[in-house]
Amino acid sequence: MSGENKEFKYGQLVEIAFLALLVVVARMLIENMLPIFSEWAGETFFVALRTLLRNYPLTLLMLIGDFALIKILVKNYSYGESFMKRTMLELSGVIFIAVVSAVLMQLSAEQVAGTTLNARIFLTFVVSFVLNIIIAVMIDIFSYTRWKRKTAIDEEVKLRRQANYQYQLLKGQLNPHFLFNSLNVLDYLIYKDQDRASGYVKKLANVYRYQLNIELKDTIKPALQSCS
Amino acid sequence: MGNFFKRSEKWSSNFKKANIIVFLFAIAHVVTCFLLHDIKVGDGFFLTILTIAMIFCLIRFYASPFDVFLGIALLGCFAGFYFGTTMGDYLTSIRPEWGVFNNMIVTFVTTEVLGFATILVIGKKSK
Repeated sequence: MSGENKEFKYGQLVEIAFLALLVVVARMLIENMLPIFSEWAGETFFVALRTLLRNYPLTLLMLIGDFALIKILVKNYSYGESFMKRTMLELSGVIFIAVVSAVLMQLSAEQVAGTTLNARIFLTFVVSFVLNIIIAVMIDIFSYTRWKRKTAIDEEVKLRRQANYQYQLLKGQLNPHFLFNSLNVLDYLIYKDQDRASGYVKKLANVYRYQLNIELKDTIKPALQSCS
Repeated sequence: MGNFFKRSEKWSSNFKKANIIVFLFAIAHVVTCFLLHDIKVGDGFFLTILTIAMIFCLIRFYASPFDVFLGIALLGCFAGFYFGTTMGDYLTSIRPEWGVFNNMIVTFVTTEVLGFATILVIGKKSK
């Protein structure tokens, strides 16, 4: 595919394969095991989800937890640095939030006849995990798009600064060369025609005044536009 | 073929190429659904693998970091599974005579939507 992809390493491929396996296993578990656990716990996934969401303080606590988790990750691990470590930390954080919320939920819930406490805690954990992973992932994707936009702007600013530097460098080379030629012409005119020499000096002064004025203006924008 | 899927500087060209990748994967999903839907193992496992492969290819195509790979893959697979089964059941209830073609249509539409959403998240805008 693209040129940057040549830097893609074998180790990275193994890590991605591991993550892909994780997704496949999670998908298969949710599809095949959840009906069994729902039967065991005495309620379906969506009923358990509704019960969890009706506990407003806990839902708010989970949201704050997810926001805090992504905020900490974004602060300590920038995107594109160590994605495996970052992903594992995100996953561990979500599991921790799900465990805490399942325990807190059971502390405040009434015991349902015919079901075991373990089954209900486990179902609440699974529901909480799915809910939290979706919220955390959405926050992470939003944060990623913001980071991407910021990186693109930074790159653009860097390019403009580079172009500006090159422009200044070229101008610095051009000015002494122009002055040297002008002085040679002036030297010739002083001997040949003093009136013309005087006019020449005035025009030269005007040219330098004009150059001094345009230096203060933003001249790089039209230069960049003409390049693109 | 290898050169065709190389990213260029033009955003519109990259967008078209990414959409072709998504379309090819959508076709692969449809074929998998047609071949494996009625067998005992089912097509769920293979469709999940194809969805993950599509997300991987799109991230590679745009040379984006893999930090959001797990997130997009999880969301994509669960959203695909949920919308696929719900819409499949709904279509089957309306047109039961169409059989597996209902699932094929839903699989195609779901894959296209997921692919497009992935492009929106990871795609790089033109400068």
